[in-house]
Amino acid sequence: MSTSEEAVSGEAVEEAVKASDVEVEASRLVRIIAALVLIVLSATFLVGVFDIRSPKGFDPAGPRFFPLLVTSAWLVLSIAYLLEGLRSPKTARATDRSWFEPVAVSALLVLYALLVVPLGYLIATALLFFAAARVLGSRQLVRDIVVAVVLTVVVYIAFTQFLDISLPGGVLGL
Amino acid sequence: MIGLSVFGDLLHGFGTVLDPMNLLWAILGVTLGMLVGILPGIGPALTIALLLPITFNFSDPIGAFIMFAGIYYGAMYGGSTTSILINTPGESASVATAIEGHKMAQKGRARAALATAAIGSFVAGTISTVLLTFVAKPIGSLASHFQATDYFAITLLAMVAVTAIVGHSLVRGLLSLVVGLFIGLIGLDSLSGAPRYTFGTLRLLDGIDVVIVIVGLFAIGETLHVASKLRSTPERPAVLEKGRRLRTGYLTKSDWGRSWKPWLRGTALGFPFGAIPSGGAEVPTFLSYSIERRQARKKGRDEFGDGAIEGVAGPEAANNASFSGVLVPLLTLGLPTSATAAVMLAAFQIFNVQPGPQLFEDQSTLVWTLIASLYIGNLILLIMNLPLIQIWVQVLKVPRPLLYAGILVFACLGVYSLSGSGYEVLMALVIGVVGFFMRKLDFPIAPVILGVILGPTMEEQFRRSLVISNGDASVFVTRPLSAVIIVLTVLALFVPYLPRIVARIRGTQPTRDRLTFGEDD
Repeated sequence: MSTSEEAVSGEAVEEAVKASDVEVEASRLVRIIAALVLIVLSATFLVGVFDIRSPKGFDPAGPRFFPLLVTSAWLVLSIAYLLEGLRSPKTARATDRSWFEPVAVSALLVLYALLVVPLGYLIATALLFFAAARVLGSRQLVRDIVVAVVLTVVVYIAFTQFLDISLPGGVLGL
Repeated sequence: MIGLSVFGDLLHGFGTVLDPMNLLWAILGVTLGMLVGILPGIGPALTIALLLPITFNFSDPIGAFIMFAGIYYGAMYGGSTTSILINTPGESASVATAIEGHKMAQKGRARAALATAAIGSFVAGTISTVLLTFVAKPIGSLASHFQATDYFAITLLAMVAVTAIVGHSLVRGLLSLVVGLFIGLIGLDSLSGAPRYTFGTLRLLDGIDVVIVIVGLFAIGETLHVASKLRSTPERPAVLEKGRRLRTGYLTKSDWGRSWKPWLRGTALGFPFGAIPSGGAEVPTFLSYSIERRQARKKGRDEFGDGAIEGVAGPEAANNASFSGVLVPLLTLGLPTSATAAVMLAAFQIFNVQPGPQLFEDQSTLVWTLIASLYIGNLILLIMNLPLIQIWVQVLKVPRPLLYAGILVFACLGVYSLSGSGYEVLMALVIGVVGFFMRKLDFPIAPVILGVILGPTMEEQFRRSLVISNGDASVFVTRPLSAVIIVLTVLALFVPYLPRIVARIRGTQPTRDRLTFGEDD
């Protein structure tokens, strides 16, 4: 196979890769921070191995052996990842990614986790759907409300009536 | 007479599947799988994870598994439809289909592309299910001679090989794997009862439910990832040419002529690559793509890059065939070799069914019904697909904000129904945030899932081996089978560097194929 053929195929594949989500979009700085977080976590858990109660008994490896193996491998790999990040070229890619939406969606999920039992499934879930749709950029108020209510009610009835999964009734007292 | 008993077992399986209620589960599964799988950016693993809670309260695991098989086929074909029509493959196995398939759609040949994908999937699915029917039981009885050390070795091989092959970087892949293994460690140690990494909370004593990990990483992680880039990616409208010839005539005579060989070649690649630990469908689909391109060049007909039907037919067949291949180690050894298979294994565990050599004896009805349901699922898919394509395409018109809000609702429902408290939702969110950063930093997700699911098994087999040998660690290398598998594991680590090694031997410049083999750093 000649090199020109390879180049053509490479282009087609490259294009497909761009079209899908397989893209490296993190800047060098984010990678280094991530590596440092991984190092701190793995080191903490490595130390934590010695908090595990290890009875002397029939089991030669004991409950500490695997945690020790896993966390030390984790630490070594994190250091390798840090070195990789430090060696990467300094050109930070201009990023047009927004932080608002993921943070807002996470906040919504925290609220949902706290409110689903006291408010009840129907109200909490309809609110979650509506708020999430708005955060993610939907601008059709009536449609969003209608879909939120209909979807929630259908899910509620399907799961409680047909699949026997109990969902909290909450303030509606269902 | 192995052959005859297989037919008897299979017939018995068909008898169970064709029970009206079970048939209904199969149709429902394919429909749900199609509906969710066709949504842009959602692959089979996420689809099954989202639909898992539906089966939590099934009293009968058989119905659940019939439905899973349907969901899987539906999701896989739904993913191809999306790839062809709007070029948003939900997982790497559909990327090859998207290359030529979307070009065909742009040239007004979407129906032909969808048809060759559907018929190719049916052909490949049926042939590979026949293969599965005949190899599963013999391999299962071979595996019944496996000892603890062999299980340890083969689990290690599966994890390491998949990690080495699927990612773009070995360091990031292995990091994903150890994080998964770590999550698997949380909770009470199964052998000694000592709590590990429970941080003093009772909640963590039982460990983190694998459903939470799957839903968190796939559904919530993906939603957060999409949320961060909604503004910069425009919505893409679906293209499907007006149907002049409904029902029949999707494929012209020349389309058939150009499709059937790629279907068969795709099947021949998909089944074996699915059966070995190579991450499922990704490798065979790309291999099929490049083989078809080379074949077309030889004949002097090169439409590749411009909508060649062979480039859809081959990878789609490979994709479908690899699923039956993946089921071989999953059913006979309890060994998942792809993220989707790992999700399936989690589903087995929910029903207290342990795949492995004993499965064919202990759960004979279940396993043969599952295999029979693969034949039926394939057929249902073909029947429901092409005639109803106009309806499926409507699903693509769901606006993205509503789509992802809906995914959040189902993700929360799935984890909430595990124990009926908001705590699981918080846990899934924490894991979702991890999944979000993994996507940002290009860490592969599959190794985490494999680590969580296989880690505890691997540790148990490892410690059991040492108990049997009285602490003599040489058992892993003195038993020939274990030793061979461990050597293979070490070799698997070098697979990503194969193109470079080959190039060096030949003395040429290395050409990197970052999709089939990991990109080196």
